[in-house]
Amino acid sequence: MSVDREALAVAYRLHYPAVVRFLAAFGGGSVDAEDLAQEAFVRLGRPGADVPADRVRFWLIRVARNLALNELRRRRPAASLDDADEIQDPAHDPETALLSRDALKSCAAALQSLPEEWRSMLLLREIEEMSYAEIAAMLGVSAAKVKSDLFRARLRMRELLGRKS
Amino acid sequence: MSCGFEEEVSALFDGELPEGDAARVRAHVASCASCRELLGDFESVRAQVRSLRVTTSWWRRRVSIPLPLAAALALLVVAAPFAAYRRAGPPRVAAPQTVVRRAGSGLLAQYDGGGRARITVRPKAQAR
Repeated sequence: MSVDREALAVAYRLHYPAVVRFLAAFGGGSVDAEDLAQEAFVRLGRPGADVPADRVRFWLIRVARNLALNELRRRRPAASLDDADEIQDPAHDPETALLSRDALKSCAAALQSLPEEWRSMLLLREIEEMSYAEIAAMLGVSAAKVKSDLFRARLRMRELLGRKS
Repeated sequence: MSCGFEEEVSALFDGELPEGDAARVRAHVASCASCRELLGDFESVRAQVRSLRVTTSWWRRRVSIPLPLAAALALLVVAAPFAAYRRAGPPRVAAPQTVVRRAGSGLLAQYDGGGRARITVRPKAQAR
């Protein structure tokens, strides 16, 4: 049984921005976030993709992440982070109003330098606001590993960005 | 120098500690300047990572239109003005036009281009 068209349309409306957001941060400009997000939705609509309604978002992000990993492995080395259009103009977001564009680029570069699994965990936690259990289920690891790796990822980011960044 | 609480501080920061453990770690943080600083750094990392949320610029947002449909639309945009011109001919200029007819003795009917008539009565000699 597959996801019917109406459910797919609802899922698209609800989750497309989150999937694109995750892919864009995860790929750091090295993948076409919108293309891969659409591919994830195409797969959701395929016969056999029987996904419970409350798991659709996780399913989509997991599929999108796998698509991005395949793309990144195919297209190494990573593209430059000079594509300024990929980074939100801080002037439009009060939360980041104090961050300069250079700081955003530094952050993106630091994120890309993390091991892929740490990067996934950090994005799923900080941007998608998933719990350790959800992240663990998505990545197929234990919650204890998520806890430990997230801590290490944060320490690495702190080191890369400067302690008082 | 490590106090041994750092990983727990990270989990506390994420709200992932059971209440008993959370209370213990909070008490430690209250008395440990290094862990308080760590919490501040985690907050800073979080803010910067969250700042990477992407906006898809409208000019970069692609709309998937099948190629034949896109070609037909382009043709329509280009050809529509020509088709309209051919059907309607050159634009008409509403030139004032007055037709004067003798409408019997002394009566003059003046027609303008829009089909309106203005009737005037004049002396017979003048009407001629």
